[in-house]
Amino acid sequence: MDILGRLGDFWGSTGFASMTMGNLIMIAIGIFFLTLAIAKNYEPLLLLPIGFGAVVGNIPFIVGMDGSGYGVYNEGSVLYYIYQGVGKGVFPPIIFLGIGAMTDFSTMLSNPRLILLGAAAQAGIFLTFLGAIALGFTPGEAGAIGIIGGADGPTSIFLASKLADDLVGPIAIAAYSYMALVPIIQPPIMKLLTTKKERLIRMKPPRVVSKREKIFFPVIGFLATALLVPGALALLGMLFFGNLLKESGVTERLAETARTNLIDSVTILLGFSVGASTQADVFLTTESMSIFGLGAFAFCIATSMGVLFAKFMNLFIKDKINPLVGAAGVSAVPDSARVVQHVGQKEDSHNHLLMHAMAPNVAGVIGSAIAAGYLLSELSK
Amino acid sequence: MSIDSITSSVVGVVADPTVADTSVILMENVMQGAITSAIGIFIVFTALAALALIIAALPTILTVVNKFIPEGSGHGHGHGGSVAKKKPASDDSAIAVAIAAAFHKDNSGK
Repeated sequence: MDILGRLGDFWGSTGFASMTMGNLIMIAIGIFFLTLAIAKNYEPLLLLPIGFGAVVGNIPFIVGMDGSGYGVYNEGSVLYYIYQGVGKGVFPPIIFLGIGAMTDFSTMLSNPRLILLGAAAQAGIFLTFLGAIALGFTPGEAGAIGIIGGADGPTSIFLASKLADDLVGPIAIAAYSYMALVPIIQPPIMKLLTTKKERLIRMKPPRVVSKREKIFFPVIGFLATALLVPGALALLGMLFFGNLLKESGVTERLAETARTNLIDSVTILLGFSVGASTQADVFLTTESMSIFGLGAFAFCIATSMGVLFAKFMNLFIKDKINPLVGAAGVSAVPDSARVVQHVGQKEDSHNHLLMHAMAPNVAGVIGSAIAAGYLLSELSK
Repeated sequence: MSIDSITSSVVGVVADPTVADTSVILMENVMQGAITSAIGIFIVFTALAALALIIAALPTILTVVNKFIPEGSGHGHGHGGSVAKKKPASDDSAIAVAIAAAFHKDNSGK
């Protein structure tokens, strides 16, 4: 009986024996995300699954001669099949269904000119796309990186899964990390680009929107956008479908399921599998560091463009827009709208900008989906 | 020794045609990327501007629709509709109670 030999073989198959410095670093990063989520309450619904997924995904194992194993990249493993929801772009549209079912578009319907601020903020996507190409990424990779500027996690994952599936992990981590850091990244840019007088602008209260407008909007909105950019069919279709479930008034059960149990279930699987995809050999590369740098650039440009476009619009209109509202064109709903409210109230505690900021905020969700659809149709030729 | 290696040892530059090719490819990618970006910004802006115009016209469109299907003439058919009609009223009452409680708490100085 070669007991020692067999014990040695067993030890060789353990994670301890296969552990690399890269695995340790990624496990530490996963635990760091868990700490941010639990102790600091930073985007816990996303960072906790991603953080724990990163820990799980970086437990090393021996890969068989046929590529078999236990990770997300090893066909046949449980994690592999869960990850297909990310890799095949299935989970993001389902999340958009839930987002549509919980979004109130009435502030956007009551003041449609604020939609243009959401459009301006999407320039961050395309300028970052250009920057990524200049750094040597392929057009497909650059498109997947640029969409981080849309500040929309599901859209980022959706486009990355189609254009650069080997970059889904770092792109998702970058997108969700910067979304969590919106309250830190945006305020200095907003203050730098506006004067005190501009920050004190009070806007007229939004008008009341009828129930019929809220019912017609998802149908008309979908037709207007999807016919122009069919590449965004899945995202836009599910977003407006979810919204119609909510606003129709006759499918409240379905809307309730979409915005609670369904979106929560998919968020768990998506976050966990994205985290598990951040294996050290895939994630700890100079490419990932470049993606993080470009992601920060994208966020800053998107915020700046929204604010600057609001100032530009004020040159031509009588009822001025508070330029701070432009920062909410970044589609991190509702965090960037809350940041606008907070920064506005620091100047004037009676100036409530939240409802105004929600208009470009939700317009940004539509805008980033349109941008993703265009990039998908253009770059997957 | 090849001519290239002799040249590089004198000039200090490797005469590598693939480096020049890479630069040309990069410049081409950047040019194409700039065009893609410009068109993309234009398309996103146009789509959202069109959406804004449609939304601005929506009240007018609904004025016409309301002539044929007056608002409030639809009846909720089926279980889902009746549940939806009951739920907002109970939600409104709960919200009103919560707001009243918050005001009372605020005014009592706690």
